Amino acid sequence: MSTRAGKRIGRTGHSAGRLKRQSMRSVTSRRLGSSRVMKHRQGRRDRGFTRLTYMPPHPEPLVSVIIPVMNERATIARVVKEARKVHPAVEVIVVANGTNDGSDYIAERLGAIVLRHQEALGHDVGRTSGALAAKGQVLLFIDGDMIISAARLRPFIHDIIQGADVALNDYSGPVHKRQVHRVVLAKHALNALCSRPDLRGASMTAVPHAISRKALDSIGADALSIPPLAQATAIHKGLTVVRSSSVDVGRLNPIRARHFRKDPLEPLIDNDHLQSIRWLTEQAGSRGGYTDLGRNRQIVREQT
Amino acid sequence: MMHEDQERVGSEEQIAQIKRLSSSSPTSRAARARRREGTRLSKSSRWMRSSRAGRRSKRSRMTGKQRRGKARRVRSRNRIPMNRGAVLPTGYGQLATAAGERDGQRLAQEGYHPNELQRFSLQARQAFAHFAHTLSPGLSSYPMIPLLSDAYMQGLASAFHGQLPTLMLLPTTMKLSVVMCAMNEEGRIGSVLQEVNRLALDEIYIVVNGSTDRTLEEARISSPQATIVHYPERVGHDVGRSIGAKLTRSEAVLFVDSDIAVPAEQLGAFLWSIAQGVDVALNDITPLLPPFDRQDSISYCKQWLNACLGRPDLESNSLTAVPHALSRQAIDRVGIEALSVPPRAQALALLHGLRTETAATIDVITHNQVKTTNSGANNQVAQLILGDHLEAFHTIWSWKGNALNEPQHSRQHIAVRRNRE
Repeated sequence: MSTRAGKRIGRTGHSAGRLKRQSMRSVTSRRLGSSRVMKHRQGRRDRGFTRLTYMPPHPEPLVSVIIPVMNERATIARVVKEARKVHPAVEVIVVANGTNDGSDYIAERLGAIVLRHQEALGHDVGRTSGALAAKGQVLLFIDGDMIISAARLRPFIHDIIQGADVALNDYSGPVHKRQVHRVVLAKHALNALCSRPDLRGASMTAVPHAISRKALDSIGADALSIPPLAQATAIHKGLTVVRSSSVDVGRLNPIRARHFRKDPLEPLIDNDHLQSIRWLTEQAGSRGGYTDLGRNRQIVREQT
Repeated sequence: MMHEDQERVGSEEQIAQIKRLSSSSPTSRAARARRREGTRLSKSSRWMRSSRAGRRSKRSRMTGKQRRGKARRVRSRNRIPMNRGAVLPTGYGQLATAAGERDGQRLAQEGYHPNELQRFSLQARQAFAHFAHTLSPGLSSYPMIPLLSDAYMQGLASAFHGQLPTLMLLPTTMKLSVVMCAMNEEGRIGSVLQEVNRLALDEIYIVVNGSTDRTLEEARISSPQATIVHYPERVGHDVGRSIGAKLTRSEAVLFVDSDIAVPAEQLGAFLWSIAQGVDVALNDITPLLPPFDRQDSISYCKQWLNACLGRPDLESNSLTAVPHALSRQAIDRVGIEALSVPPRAQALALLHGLRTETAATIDVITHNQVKTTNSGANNQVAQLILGDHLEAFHTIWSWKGNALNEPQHSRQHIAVRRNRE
């Protein structure tokens, strides 16, 4: 496996052109892990790396695909290529943050608009940056390390064109059991508390998801930095939030799960959900506008 | 009534399913108590659960019909094993009967008579507690207690020539009380009070509110020693309970419902749990619930609230469900007002670091009455409880303040770390 990975590094490095030797060495260990992912791509893997055909962004795009990227050289080419195919009038915006492995150059050669940030932003903040630069009426958010075919991305765009404002990935995580992951639970609970139990565990925390220009203007690009908050805001403001098609991102993202005994994002996401609840209670009162069903609390207060 | 209804806020279809599942293997009192017995048992069951979860991933590939069949089997296995074999240590039965006879004679000499039931039963409980205290080794788990109490009562009855009600004595000298809220429970409250009376309690508070039938009269007849608070208008079940909590001065307070007669042997588990030093003794409804994807919104909220408060092991168990018991300390710390909003009270109890445990499983879901307010996906009771949970989360925010904001700054840091690994 190591030799195969090594070979590919060489080839990738060559095609990416301006890569520095040093940065290549620094990513070697990571590439070993990624090669396991690539094995599942059924022999298609080389195409993504050898042919970097340039396709300019559409001058008046209808769809903007926003991809936050941080050192994802192994996958970025395929991701961008799929993103280019989702719609005839598309622009691909790659938000390269804290990247030093040349991912941004690969994306550029494929015709993506690249926004460069020296420091690491994280996925969510990267989305805000991308959304600010987007010109399309439909904004599709995906990740740079997850190859999702254009065919599976199109339903999200379709739903927005059909009139929805937020089209979520209809993926709730593994729920056929008694106790579920903390984050899965938080997503379900937040939707329930927003009076949208029908959304189940669908969340803007998960990619892919798409929003309309109207939704972006309504909730603001900044809000995208805290996805559950953006979702709660969208629901509260009466935007049309729907479950779109289902993309099993859990299966597409196996390496990370194996590397972490505990995902460092977990407490953060939990906190994001709590933030959203706070926002909700600030907007609609401490009971969020729910009935008190004839409770006569005064009685107890008087006696106390 | 509103209270138990709160457990049954899912769709009717879901309720029917739960009923089907739970009717297949009813849990015995002894089995329920065995769950409480110690960490050893619960740990092993937890382990089994996780291994089962792994296997269950296959289920996703089955057809709907297959899956339902499988689910039922899994569910029934998931239930608490029946423990028919709850036995007293050798000789304890005879010891108890002998002690009962001896104490019965003493009580008769001192002029206590079962005609004055309240006075007599309290004295009997004191005597029983003293007897239980002399046992060595002591009582390690709750299922022994009803058995020991039975044996003791046999001895007591022989001293009074069999003219005794069958009391369920708890071996504690603590002041015990029951708080009950009733609205239009004619025909049901009587049998509930019969079971409650068997517990030999110091105080019974019944908050009758908004009743248009003979609930008040029935309560008065069934439990002459009870203190009844009457409100012509409706106050709400949770408020009713906080009124009772405000009035009682007992060290352990059991909150029950007025329409389901739960046997005294099962109710005793909650009070005993408080006597063992627990502050909040909850009804463990986890074995009654379907797998996560078929649970309702309220269950998600309850679970998440517990998880956010650092007690994911409590799962969906909450003060929203009755019966539950509170210690004096819990009532004082949490405050009477907060008790009107059960999830908020739960949040405060956990924030105060009160010892919160599950005591027994009482099936309040299956026996619940179906009403227009509590059935359907988006019924009023569900809305009420959702609001309650928002209040509870609001409470967490005001308690922790901006401490919760801190992880926010590390978003960048996490991005770097996540990418490197």
